[in-house]
Amino acid sequence: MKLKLLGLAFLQANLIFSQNMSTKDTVSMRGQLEQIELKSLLDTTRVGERNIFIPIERLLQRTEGANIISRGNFAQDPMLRSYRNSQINVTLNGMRMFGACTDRMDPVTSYAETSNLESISVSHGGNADLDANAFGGGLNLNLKRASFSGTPKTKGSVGTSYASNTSGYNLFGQVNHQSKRWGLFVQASTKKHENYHAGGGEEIEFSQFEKINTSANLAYQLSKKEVLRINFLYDRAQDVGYPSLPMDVGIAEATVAGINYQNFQNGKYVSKWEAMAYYNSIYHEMDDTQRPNLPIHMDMPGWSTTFGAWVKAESQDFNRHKIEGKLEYYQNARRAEMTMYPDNEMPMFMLTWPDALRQSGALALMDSWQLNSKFSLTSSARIDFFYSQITTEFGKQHLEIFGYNVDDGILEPVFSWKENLTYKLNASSRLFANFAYAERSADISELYGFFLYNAHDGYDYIGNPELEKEQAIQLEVGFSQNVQNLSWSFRGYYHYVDHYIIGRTDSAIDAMTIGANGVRVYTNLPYAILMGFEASADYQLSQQWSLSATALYAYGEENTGEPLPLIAPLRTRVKVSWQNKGWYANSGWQWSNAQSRVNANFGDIPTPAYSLLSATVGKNWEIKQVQLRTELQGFNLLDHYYRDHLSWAQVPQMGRNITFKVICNL
Amino acid sequence: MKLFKTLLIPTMALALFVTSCKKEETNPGTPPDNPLSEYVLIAESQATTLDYSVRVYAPEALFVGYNHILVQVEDNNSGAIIDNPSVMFMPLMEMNSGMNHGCPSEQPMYNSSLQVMEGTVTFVMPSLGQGEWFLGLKITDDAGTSEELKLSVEIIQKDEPKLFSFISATDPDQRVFVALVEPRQPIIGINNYELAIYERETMMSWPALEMLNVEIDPEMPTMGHGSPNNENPIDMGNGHYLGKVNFTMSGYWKVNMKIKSSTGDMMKDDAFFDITF
Repeated sequence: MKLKLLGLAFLQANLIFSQNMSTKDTVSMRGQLEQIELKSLLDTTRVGERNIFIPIERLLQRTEGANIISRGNFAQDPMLRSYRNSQINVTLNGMRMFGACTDRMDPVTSYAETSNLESISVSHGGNADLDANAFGGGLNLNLKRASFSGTPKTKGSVGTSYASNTSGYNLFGQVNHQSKRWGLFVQASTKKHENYHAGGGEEIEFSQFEKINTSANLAYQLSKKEVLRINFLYDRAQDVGYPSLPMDVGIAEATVAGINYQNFQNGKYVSKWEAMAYYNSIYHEMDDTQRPNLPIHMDMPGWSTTFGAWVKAESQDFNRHKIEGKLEYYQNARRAEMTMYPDNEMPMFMLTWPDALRQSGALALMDSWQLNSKFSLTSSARIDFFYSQITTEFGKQHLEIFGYNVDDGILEPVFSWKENLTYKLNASSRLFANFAYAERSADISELYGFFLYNAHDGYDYIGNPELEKEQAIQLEVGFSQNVQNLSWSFRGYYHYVDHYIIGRTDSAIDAMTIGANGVRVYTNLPYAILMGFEASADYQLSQQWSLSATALYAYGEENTGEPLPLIAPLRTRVKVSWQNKGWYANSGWQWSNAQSRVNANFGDIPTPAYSLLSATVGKNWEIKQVQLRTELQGFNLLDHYYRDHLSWAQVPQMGRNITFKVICNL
Repeated sequence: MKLFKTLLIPTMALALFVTSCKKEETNPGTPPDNPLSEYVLIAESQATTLDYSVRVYAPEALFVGYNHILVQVEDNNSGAIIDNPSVMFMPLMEMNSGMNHGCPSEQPMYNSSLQVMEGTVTFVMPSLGQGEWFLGLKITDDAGTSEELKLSVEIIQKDEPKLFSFISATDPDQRVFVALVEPRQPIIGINNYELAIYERETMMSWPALEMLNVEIDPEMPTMGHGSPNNENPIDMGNGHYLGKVNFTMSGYWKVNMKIKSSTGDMMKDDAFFDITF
């Protein structure tokens, strides 16, 4: 157990949290979704049993500073403090992974399931942790892992849930075998949901989905201080509707494999180190055959293959310093095609990602320095070398149309640096300030995209290999306090983003997509400003009762003062929870302000305020050796008809949904 | 090789070098036995006076439009291919109506790598049903002895025409023939767009038309879109006009053209070539 915790701490790449492991354990016992106390750098949200069957995206929404962009009831796109797409970095167990859909129908979060997640780590801003060159923030999904036990034992869990709104079910099963040297964790889950209904009962067509997910983790203790792990994950979604988009998805399939070595040798200089090699490949196939009044049928398959390796190490404490380092390489190859089938004519074909390859090598260092009992300073720096290129002549010829010279690749060093100063006012309060300088190299779509349709603003997007990298100055201050039954925190940030990448209309180019408004070419804005705050408070009224509240606000503008598109309005949540003798219940009220600061040019429209009421009641039963959990959960109980500001194409969100869940631990 | 790359690249990058993985050009290999193996043998004939064997090749079956034609002359005595023989094209259509006419041609030049005389003939109508096309060849040896051969050739009409003709809007007596030279193998991307433009002065005289102004505007009629950054063909001499046409995808394209005289008067404003690939 100890070893497992140690491993987890290491995986999360944050030594500061190792001291909080006991907190984490408590959290896990309570089975609650809670955040670890220290919030200055990395939030780790444990995905307990309570959250099995809750979509990852819904969990993310509860994480401070996170939002989701929805294009339907599946695979919502995570957003951290108004940063999105490749401005944030999403990894799975520290493995780089990139969706295979040009239209972002498959963010990496869509290839995992809460039933196989141990925790979700979120960091904001650039270079907060070693695992990502996270320009705007990083999100790591930590998969459940096998563990060891002195006496061999095998445990299993099965569970199912039914959702009234979508007439949908979820099923999962897992087996965890532990012995002294071997550990095996195997998990499988499946879900199938029909169209959802908005408040008032309106059926939202093309919002169905079905999916299976399996994962396995095999662990072997090479010695008392060495663990070898093999990870495998296979995920396949099919028949997925996207009501916000003009087409759906036939198949979205990911295969992920990794091998990981951990060494807890506790040497003179190095306390532990870890190495990993991984591979993942995604195949994504859009499907428009179910749509009525189709102007033209098209196939749009996409492929994304990544492999990489990293090694990281953590030093012993010396002179109040602790140093961590990571050396990393990965490469990602992507290709996407489009074939259209007109009546009585030759099919029309093009590449939308023209055989792009991106290689990256990086070195990251982080120093945690306990200056004295009051001050601590965490400094980190990272340099990435990106080499992006189009690998085939066929692909290059596509981009040459726009006058770009893409014969040679683009080598770009990307640097980031962060200073985090924490001041401990007293035993219960701390104040922190962050300064970061972060850079981001344009991604494959931004460099090489070829007529990528954006259903939000209705434009076809074309890449621009001449883009400058984004450069940000990120300032943040925060305060947190834990006094007896009350804990609260506040974080405010101001980010100045130079060369912010956005589309600019080019009326000289005809749109390719029938009905599109025109063509936009990615370009650098002189600058953009992002700012906002997050606040949260928890109050333990008694053994049984507790209260929590969060607030989240974001603001973004272009250099002209024009609002940036897709900026969430002020959101608040209040939750009251109760627990007693195995019974538990909570009720939450979430309120989203109206958003009138919109950028109509990019498809935004003003969004009215809405509020939602949810409630949960559940009971944990112990029947001999069997632990049983039953839970009834109601979402949007008042059946409000509402549209979230971050949902594309003005599609309303889900109305009342009652889910019933049973989970059995054997 | 692939495995080698797979292993090499991460190793190099871990040393913090991100290197370009340049494709290694594969060895072009040994030349094929016959350098003309990729061409179609159109006709063969024996020159009796000169005692030569004459073979006519083309990249594909001859069609209505601008054809590259390769003529190889072999000395029957020595069995050797003759370097740079004197060959002249004299295409002729003998129509069923009894009228004969020629068509535009560009006299051949020696292509030493293929050991052929290479020129072009722009056939202006198909054989089928209308008469018989002959490729007249006048061959002269070093001594100045000439022989004319008359090779019957079949000219097909392609599904997608590579040539059209019109009567100039500026001159009702001027019949203009426009042939598509490039792209022969269109790609998604930038394509050379080359035209050869001739007029029919008399039945046997088909001179090149120079100094014209040509504007192009490609479109995908099915999708209703065009493509950016096209370049209008400009006069390259000898009736050839060279520009660029960009195809953003494969499929059916219609390249619309406006053809204007040297003074800018519109000769034809609704010309087009269909290009499907």
